[in-house]
Amino acid sequence: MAQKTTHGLLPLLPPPTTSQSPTAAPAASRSSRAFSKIKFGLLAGVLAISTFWAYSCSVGGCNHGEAPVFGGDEWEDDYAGVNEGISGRLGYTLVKDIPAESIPGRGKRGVKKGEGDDKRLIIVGDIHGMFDEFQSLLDKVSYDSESDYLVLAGDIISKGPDSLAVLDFARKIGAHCVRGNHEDRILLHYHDIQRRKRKHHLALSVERKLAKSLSKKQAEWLDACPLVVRAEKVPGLGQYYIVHAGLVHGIGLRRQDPVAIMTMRTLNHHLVPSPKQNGMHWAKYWNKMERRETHGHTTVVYGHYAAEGLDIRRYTKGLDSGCIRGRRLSAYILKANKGGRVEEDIVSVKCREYLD
Amino acid sequence: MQLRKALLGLVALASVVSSAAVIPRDGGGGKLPRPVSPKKPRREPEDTKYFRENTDLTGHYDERFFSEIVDYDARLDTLKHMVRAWLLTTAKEGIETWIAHGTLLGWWWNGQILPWDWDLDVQMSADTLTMIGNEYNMTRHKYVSEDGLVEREYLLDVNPWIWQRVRGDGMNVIDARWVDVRNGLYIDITGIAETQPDSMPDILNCKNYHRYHVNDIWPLRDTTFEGVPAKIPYSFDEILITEYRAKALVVTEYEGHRWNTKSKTWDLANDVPAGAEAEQLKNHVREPERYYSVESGGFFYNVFRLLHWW
Ligand SMILES: [Mn+2]
Repeated sequence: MAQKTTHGLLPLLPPPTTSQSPTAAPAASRSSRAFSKIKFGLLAGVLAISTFWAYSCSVGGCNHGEAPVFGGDEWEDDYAGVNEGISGRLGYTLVKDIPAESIPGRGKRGVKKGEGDDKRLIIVGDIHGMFDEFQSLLDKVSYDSESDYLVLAGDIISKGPDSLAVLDFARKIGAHCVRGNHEDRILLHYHDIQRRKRKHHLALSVERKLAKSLSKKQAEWLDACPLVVRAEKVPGLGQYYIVHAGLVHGIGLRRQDPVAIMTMRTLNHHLVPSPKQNGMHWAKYWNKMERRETHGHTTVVYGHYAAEGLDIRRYTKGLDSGCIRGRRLSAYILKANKGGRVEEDIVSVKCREYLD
Repeated sequence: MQLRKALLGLVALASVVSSAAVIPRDGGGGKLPRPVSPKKPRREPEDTKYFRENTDLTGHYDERFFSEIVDYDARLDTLKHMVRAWLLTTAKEGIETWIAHGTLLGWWWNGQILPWDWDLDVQMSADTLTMIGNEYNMTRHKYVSEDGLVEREYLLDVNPWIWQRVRGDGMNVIDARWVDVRNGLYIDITGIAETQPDSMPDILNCKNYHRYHVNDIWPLRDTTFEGVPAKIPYSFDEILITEYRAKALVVTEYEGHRWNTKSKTWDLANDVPAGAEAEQLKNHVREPERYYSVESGGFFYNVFRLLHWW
């Protein structure tokens, strides 16, 4: 367990043995009980160094001199990010913009003091086919398809009891969406089934059954979900990105790994994202870097990371509060208040226990 | 009291050791990702070794068709047409296959072959492999390039020992080949299968101990490779990181080539070391599958190890 955290934070840790330099040994050789303890500590330190060295030799070889040539070095540098074009090669729609008139506080006449405006941006995290909960959440926020711009942050379907009902309802009320890892898998299965010449060798999995049950219309609607929904110039708050899993700070959308946008949880120290949990939470890195910017902030709203639960930070808003496992279904709301400022709010409902 | 101090010291030490143990596996050492394990020169042919390879060139040619060592340009030309022919032929015949290992890494960078690669890797399910063994073994396939200028012929040769999945002697790691009959260069075709459906369901193995979860392979993704339709595994990025480490996705100088960020190609670069020189510089070849499988053992194991050494 301890390694889980150290692994991701390595570059931030001081070299492990600097405080126990063996050259300090003679200074500690005067005899007293206190010093004998120090002596013990030093012995331990030397041992630690030699253990480290021996271990690193056995695992990684003793060649500590020649460093490889990288596009960048560690955290701070923009990593090579050379996978540019992968979105295109995989046929993904990368980004769609929310029209200006649907962004809170950006109505034609702007927001006047004492009025606010009625435009709300509502983002709902991983619904996973939990139809009843989705409905009661919309009731609770008094959803109005005329004035509200609703974005479902991916993983709308799969796992839960009523995927198709959620899908049809979302289409009916004019919801928008981003592509989650589950939509991605189901759609890949769907297109495979449509095209297949030979019978699939694997037994019909749960996913494949769901994919088979999709109508053409439903599949088309899901296929049109981009990886990123963007809201530009939210008054006082800057830019908003809505994605399913996350983004790597400092890398343009076109150079992000499109699959990682749907699956990432952590970053390693080359800023390579991973769906695993042993590394630095990408949102932590995002906030760290975003706090350094003086203007033009970008906030990311996302789902996917149920293990972290509702995770609201200054520049990242994690919405997967584990509805499918009997926790809550959450909505993040942006709304222009009477003072003319855009404010955030979070509303959630309790979920029945579907998976354990 | 003394004992408590000693224990405290141990605790501190162990945590230092366990954190230190992580460093060399990813951060240290100046090692570069190297697509090695599936096709290193093997020991002298033994009884069960079906394919005969030209051994002095580390087995990049099929011996039956070897005439001479091809140069850089001829090799790249051979490989590019060969993989296009494979992908087009399998698509036409409805044979499900996807690109793997170094070939997949090449796709990740720019959808093309890594120019320093000597052979190409594709995979399929063991069932599909059995099927092509029955229906297509030793078939020859003609190919004409899109512009009509290049005509080639390939042999699809399936190793009769494909049923010998559990590797005993380190031999037969290749299941089938797609061979250019002009010069013997070939594509490795490997089947993956559940080897222990009872104890490890959904875990797939190829003969070379590369291990995949069924959900990491399927559903396959549709893309293009060298300009023709191709398939890649669902979790291609995870697979690449497991097999080659994250560094393989960020290093921009490798094996005598440098990544050209403008043209998105790997260009020959005289100042970038290659071959034996690069080997010496980087000291040793890494073994991809060990990267994640070697556990540093955790806290208690490190305490134990320290005590043991004392
Ligand atoms: Mn998800």
